[in-house]
Amino acid sequence: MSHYILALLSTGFIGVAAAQSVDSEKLLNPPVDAWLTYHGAYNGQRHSGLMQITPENIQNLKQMWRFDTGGNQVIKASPILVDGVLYLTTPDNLWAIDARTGKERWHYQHPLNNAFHIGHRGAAVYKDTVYLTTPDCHLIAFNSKDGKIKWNVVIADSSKGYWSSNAPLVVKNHVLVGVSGDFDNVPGQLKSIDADTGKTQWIFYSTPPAGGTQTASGGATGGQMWTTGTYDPELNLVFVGTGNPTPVLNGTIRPGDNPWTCSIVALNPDTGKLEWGFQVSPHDTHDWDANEVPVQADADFDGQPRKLVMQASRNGYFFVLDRTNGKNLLTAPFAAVNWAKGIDSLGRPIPNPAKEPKKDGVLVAPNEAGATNFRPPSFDPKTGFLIVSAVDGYGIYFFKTEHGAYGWAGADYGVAGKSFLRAIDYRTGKIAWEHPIGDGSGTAGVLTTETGLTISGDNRESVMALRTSDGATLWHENIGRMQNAPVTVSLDGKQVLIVAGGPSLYALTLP
Amino acid sequence: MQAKRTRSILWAALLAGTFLVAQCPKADAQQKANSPRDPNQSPAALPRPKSKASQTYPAAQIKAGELRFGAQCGFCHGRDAAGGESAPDLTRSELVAEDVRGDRLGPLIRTGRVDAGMPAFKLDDSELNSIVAFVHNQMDKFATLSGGRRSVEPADLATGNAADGRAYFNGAGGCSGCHSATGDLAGIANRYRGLALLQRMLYPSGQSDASPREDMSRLTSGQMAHFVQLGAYTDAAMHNVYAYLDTLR
Repeated sequence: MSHYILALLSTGFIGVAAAQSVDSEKLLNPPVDAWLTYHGAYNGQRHSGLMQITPENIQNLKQMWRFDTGGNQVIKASPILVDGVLYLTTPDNLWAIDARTGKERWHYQHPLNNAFHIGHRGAAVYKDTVYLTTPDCHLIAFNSKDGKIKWNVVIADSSKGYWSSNAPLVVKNHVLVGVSGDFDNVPGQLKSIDADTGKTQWIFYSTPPAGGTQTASGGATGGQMWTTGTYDPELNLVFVGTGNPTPVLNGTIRPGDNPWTCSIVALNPDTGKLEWGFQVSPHDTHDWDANEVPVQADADFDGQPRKLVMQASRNGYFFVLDRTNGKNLLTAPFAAVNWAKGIDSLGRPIPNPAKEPKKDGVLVAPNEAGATNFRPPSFDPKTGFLIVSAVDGYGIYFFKTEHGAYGWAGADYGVAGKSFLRAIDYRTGKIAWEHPIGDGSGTAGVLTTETGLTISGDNRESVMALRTSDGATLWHENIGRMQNAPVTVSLDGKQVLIVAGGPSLYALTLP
Repeated sequence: MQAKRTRSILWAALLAGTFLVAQCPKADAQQKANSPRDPNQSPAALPRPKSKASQTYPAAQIKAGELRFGAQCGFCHGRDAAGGESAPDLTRSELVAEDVRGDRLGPLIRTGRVDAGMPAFKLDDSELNSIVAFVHNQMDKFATLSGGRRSVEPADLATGNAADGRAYFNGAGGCSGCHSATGDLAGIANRYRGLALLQRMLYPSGQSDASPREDMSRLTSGQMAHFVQLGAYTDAAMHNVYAYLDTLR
């Protein structure tokens, strides 16, 4: 219906709208007609203040347009929206799409390369530039208007086993980019690249760089920072989750806690200096990256106003920390767990050596895919719920000396899982409600809105809306399997929900 | 590491193809018809399959296949095709052994096994053929190696006590409420060996009833009972029950 009319209207609007310059100020205070960063706001809450779509009218949502990527890859990205243009990615691909019509403005396709193409989380924008990481670890800067390449730099050596799926985080003039690399024993690195020139400003190593003399990690490599962090401008700190150590399942070769793998680290974005670190899985042997979003909230804890950072982590535990100093306030399981002997004085689960991978196998909860994963949760300030896609899952883990000490170094198999959307009360760690979303692992991220909506996806290829206060089902619609979170913006005064299912991106709005 | 798709809980199903899991109490009745060499058997527990027809491919085609395989298949199947994060070792795959120049692999790659977590791949003929060439070349290369880097052998699993396993089966585990060593499980160890037997014991995956349920779960009541039991097993009890089932030949 309104497809054609909207297309006409949008032409007019584009003509009159003044181009937004995405400066640091705008990144700090994103306008309602844009989604400027991976999480939409630096605090990582994925909570929108827009009020048009409500629990009462959400079932009236209608499709404005659908954009198909047409390739092999499903969309695992969270889109960026600025100046009425969406930037959407899959591995090797970046599209600029008219947000009012769903029509392609320009498309970049990266040359074929043999780095892993398992997913891509999204682009980043600053001033008139769009940034894309590629599987073979390039960071490419494009002119946002026409897709012309401004510069193209290598951020890691993909021939050594690194690849990138990372959505960069722009803080001031720093483009923070991470990489992956689990099948090789390579150090964990996060790079800050000058937003204008592409020059490297600093590198933070979560495990010691190759060829050095540092032994702090106990011989572990890994700890990759492949997901997008959050930023607190007052503290001038970036919070990033780090991945599992390598070799992955062989823990005997790397004794000790293996810092800073499986950790939340707080970094100064101007220098890359580590302010504090908190290890959510000391000495991980189960591939439980702590790359889940470190979500910030300014809220009371035990009657005191606190600056909090929280994470529902892949290892099955929920953590609340004071983000000024990294001190633990709360640790509580949010899914089936059987691998820890208890919680230590620092608030860290104590790994049970009996649950390390063994020659004859051990039965472990969660399984390797984790109690959750990179799919972003959302924090609803009104209820104090962190709403997360969780799995009660079990896997069997094997390690014998023949598996060696390089890369995976072991074998593991998922056994079974049941998944839920769970609302964790940040004050207690208790599950306020849960909503079953199917067997196996969920893949959808979460968006909450000020009208009390929780929007996510189930394992049956539906986008769904629940009431944030109690998890009651309000709406669902089949769009294909969701692999990230929806976003919402106001375009020409109308609230639009933008959500990817399978290889397609949908824009939905009220009639 | 980034694990990102619906994944490996369906690993066994992927190997198995399709077969129904019957409701308790005849949980394993369906499998009696299966041949002794069930495809659900762990590939790592078997001798390496031999290629049905010897095939050679031009070096340039293998090289092109290595590139494409690494990019699109390598995360799950391993860059060397010998098993990755979530999908089987193709150098031990019966299907690859039976394949002649893509006659089996081609349709599978293009259709995928979506329920088991493998997407359909849109590839033109030359891209597809290069992947086929690479996989066959890897199978030939690995045939000369002994063991398997990511293997789990039946002998690795043989640490339990069968008598204790039997007691658990008939007692604390509650297994005998649905299963019988002389009924549905008679000869189970002839049909499943090693890892495949352990996986099937822990959780009998496969197709379940297609009708959606209110609670979003597609689990049968038998699967539900196994799922609950996963939270109850000690590792010792798991190995003991495995040892007991391994005696049912």
